[in-house]
Amino acid sequence: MSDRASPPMSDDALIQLLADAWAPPRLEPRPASVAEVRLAFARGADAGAGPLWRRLVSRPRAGRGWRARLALSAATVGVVVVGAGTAFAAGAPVPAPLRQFAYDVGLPVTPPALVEVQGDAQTVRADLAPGSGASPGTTAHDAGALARALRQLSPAERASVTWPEGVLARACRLFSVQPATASASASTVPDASEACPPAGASPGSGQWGGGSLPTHGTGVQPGGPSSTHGSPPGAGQSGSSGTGASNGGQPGSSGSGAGNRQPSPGSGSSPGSGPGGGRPPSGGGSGASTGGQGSGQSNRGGMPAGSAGGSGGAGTRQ
Amino acid sequence: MDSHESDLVAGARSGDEDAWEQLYRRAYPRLYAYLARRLGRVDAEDAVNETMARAVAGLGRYRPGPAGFDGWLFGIARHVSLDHQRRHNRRPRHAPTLVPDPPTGSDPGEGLELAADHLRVRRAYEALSRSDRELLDLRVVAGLSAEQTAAVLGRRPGAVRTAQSRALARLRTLLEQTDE
Repeated sequence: MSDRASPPMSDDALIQLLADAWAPPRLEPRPASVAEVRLAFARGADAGAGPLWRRLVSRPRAGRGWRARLALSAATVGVVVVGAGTAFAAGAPVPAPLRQFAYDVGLPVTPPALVEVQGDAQTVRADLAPGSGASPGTTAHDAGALARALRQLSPAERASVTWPEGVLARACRLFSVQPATASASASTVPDASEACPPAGASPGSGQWGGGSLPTHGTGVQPGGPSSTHGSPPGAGQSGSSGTGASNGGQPGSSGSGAGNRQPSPGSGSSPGSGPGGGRPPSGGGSGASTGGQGSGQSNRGGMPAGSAGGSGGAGTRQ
Repeated sequence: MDSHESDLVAGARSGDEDAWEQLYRRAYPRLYAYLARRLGRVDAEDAVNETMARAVAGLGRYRPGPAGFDGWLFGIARHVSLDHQRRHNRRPRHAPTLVPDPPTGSDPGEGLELAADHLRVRRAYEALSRSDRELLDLRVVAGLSAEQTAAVLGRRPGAVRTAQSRALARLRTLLEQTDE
């Protein structure tokens, strides 16, 4: 070695010595390697799918992709949580998609369906406000939307908020206490029948979401399914006081309410016999007492006292 | 690039698998030696095939130039080795982990002496700077010309020759020191 690595050694000799020192023992590729290279060539630009590429390149890249997807998901959730939290803290309305996502993942936000009901109820309330200028058609349309939104609520959600039902009841009363309007609601205002049950609707038919919607003695609301008991069909009508209108969930009682000019306490009690469709008593139908005591008690549960009382009065006013 | 290699490259670009295999077989010994020196024998063969796979993917972008197909291919191989080292977060492997098979010959004593000489050269080589080793890897182990090495490293051929001369002088000095 010393003679080869001695100072007189030329560059060429030194290069040759290096080449020998680093010469690989095997100079021919293995048949398997040749086959892999041919396979990679056959796949062309998709050579990355080949076994070697996957072993040397794709696996680490797949790892990075997995981490990237995880990071992206975490970032998305973070943005949603922070965004919803910020909006909640600032009192700003949370965008509907964000609210839906937050609700779906279990964050403490108001259910989207409930927010929709509240929004629709605000609209109807605005329609009903004096001087709003809203036409009966518009009001009926908005009331129909509110009725549809109310039907989407779960029992628990419906129990948590009652004022939209009162608003809807006021809208329905608008059609029921004015004969002309009421008739219009049945014939010319398409959404009125959706918001307020038609005369022939049977109790618990579902038009009112299982009878849990307001029945404030307006004469247009049937009672809930359970409200029928103890109250034979026609009780309300015979009770003339009908005011109760709601009586026992008898449809068409609105007509009876309008026509009942003879207060009949006895009859009034009959509709009140119903348990109120399972809804807690709310003093609704207080007005109905003028036409038939107890009528108001019978039917409503959970309705705002104000709206119920007003409706009862409407039904009994002579 | 000789005419035969040009024909093979043209055939491969037109989809001829046999032409591609011939290019692979021609380049394999030098690719293997180059990558084995930089990565070790364990990873060398896979790295060679990865180089070829990347070359297939980029064959449409290849434009014949002064460095020829070999210069282009070893440029890919260099990136493969750098990626591999980066992925494993390690420096290039050198002589201690790369002991070649004992030379075969009629005289067993001479074979052992050659093996010892090679080991001393590799140790001296390992003592060179990283840039010296990188240049000599291409010039000596891969057998590229100064022009091809210049193309791979992005330097001028004259600068490559000068750097090579200096690297060899340093290696010679190191060998002298080991002799003493």
